[in-house]
Amino acid sequence: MGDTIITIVAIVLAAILMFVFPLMSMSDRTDDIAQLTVTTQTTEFVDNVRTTGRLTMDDYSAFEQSIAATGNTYDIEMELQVLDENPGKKTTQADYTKIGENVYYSMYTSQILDTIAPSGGAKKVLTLKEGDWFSATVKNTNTTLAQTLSNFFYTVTGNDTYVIAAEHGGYVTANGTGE
Amino acid sequence: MKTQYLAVIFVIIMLPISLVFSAYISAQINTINLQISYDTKLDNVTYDAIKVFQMNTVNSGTSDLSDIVNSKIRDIEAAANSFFTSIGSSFNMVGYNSEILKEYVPALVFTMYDGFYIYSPFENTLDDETAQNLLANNAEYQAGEQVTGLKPYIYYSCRYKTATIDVVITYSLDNYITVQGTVNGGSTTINDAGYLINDVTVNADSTVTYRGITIGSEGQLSEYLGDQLYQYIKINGVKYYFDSSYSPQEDAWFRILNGQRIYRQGNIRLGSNDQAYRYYKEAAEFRQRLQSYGLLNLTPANAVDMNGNQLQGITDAEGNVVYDFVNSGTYHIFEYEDGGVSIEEPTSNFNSHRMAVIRYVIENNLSVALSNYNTASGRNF
Repeated sequence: MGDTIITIVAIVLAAILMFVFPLMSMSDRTDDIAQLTVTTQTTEFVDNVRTTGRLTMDDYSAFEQSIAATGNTYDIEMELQVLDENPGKKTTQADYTKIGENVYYSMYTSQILDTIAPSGGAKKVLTLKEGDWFSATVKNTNTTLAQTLSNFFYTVTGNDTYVIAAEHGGYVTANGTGE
Repeated sequence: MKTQYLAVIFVIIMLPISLVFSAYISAQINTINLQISYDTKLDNVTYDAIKVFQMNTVNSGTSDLSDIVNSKIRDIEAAANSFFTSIGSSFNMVGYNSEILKEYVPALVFTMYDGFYIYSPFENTLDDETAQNLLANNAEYQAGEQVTGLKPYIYYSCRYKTATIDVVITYSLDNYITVQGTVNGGSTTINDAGYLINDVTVNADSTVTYRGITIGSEGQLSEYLGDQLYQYIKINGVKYYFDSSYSPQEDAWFRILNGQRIYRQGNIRLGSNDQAYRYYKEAAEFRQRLQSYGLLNLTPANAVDMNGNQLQGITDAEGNVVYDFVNSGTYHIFEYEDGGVSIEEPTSNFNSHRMAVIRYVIENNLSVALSNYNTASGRNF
């Protein structure tokens, strides 16, 4: 009886050591690679928008596809803070030509997507100007294999915890054109 | 003992050990990754702040000279504001906004051509009358309140004192110096400035010879914009081009900003360009004036602080002496040629002394700002 139990324990341990741990290790590496890819692509996307002053649906779609190629699903959030040059909204001392001391108003993901891909209309180009602020945040929404395996041992509370995330933002340095 | 027992015991012993090591190494890797991530974010944020300063400086234009002093301060404050906005956005995902991160930034130093600004927290002090009579309770800043703001401009200056000379020399990032003070035992007050250029000879025929090359006036400068050749003149670093097809001709001068032509109304006349000749001639005359003041004999040991005490030296974080004002030898700071090394060379005595003065001034003032930060925040930086 004792021999049987110890044999079963040995087989279970062997199975865990030979299959589960290597699988966990490989899935962690896969997540690391996905993280690196997402970080790189997010940085490239935001820097492209910042340095050209233009955001098109083609750019956004290409970005979506490049991060989806990692095999995970992602939630992309964009924020555009537009430098407001409306004199009525200026503070008493602010100079509207000075970036950093004036009023901004924000546009978020759905508003940006409505602008570059309006429903029932042709795709448009969102042109930005010097001094505007653009940022993008990407978080994964699916449960990766590494998360599934680690959940056997411990569970991270909260349904919206993410493993792969990247964000990048910065000031726009060029006035975009519509063409 | 059976093999299975040995195998199980082996696993029971090795597994926890490997798990602990794995966790430790993961923590080390995560720490390094986080450091790299923070460094990258700080680099991007600093780049944003400098880019904003650059854009503000360019967009403010050069025609409004009446506001140029205030414009610089506003540009710096706007760049600092952009820095904190940018850093708040970069760390937004981990829950920090710009106001929280301000408490973790002891100081921002903006080094300019001939001085620097420090943007750091300080305690707002008010005199009794202002505190009691002039401010209401809901005023923006109260006495004793921690405020983050721009401190006054600090020049890269150093005082030199001998038996007959008491001057303050302000250095810049190149070989331009400003000299203010008294010479000849206090009987002569001087306020002079110029470039330190060696090997310049002024000739009688309105030319100068610099390093064997004769420089005189040159014809009208011209340059291609696209496929058309335009004559131009440079005023205060800005190129103004002449559009011969524009009418009226006196307003035909334009400059290029963001790819657009901005025409200027005013008197600019075409003519030969003698700026290079005048630059070297003034440098040669400045050298003669320095000699007449007796400043060519100044040594690093003559450098004193604002109280007249001799400057000692600069040490780095490990305690190594980087520059010794007292025991650096008897070389003269403004030696135009020393052992074949010209004053314009990076290895010249003047350049090493200039760098030491700049570092000394920045370190002194930054340590005061950090000390204020430590007092206010309770942290030790």
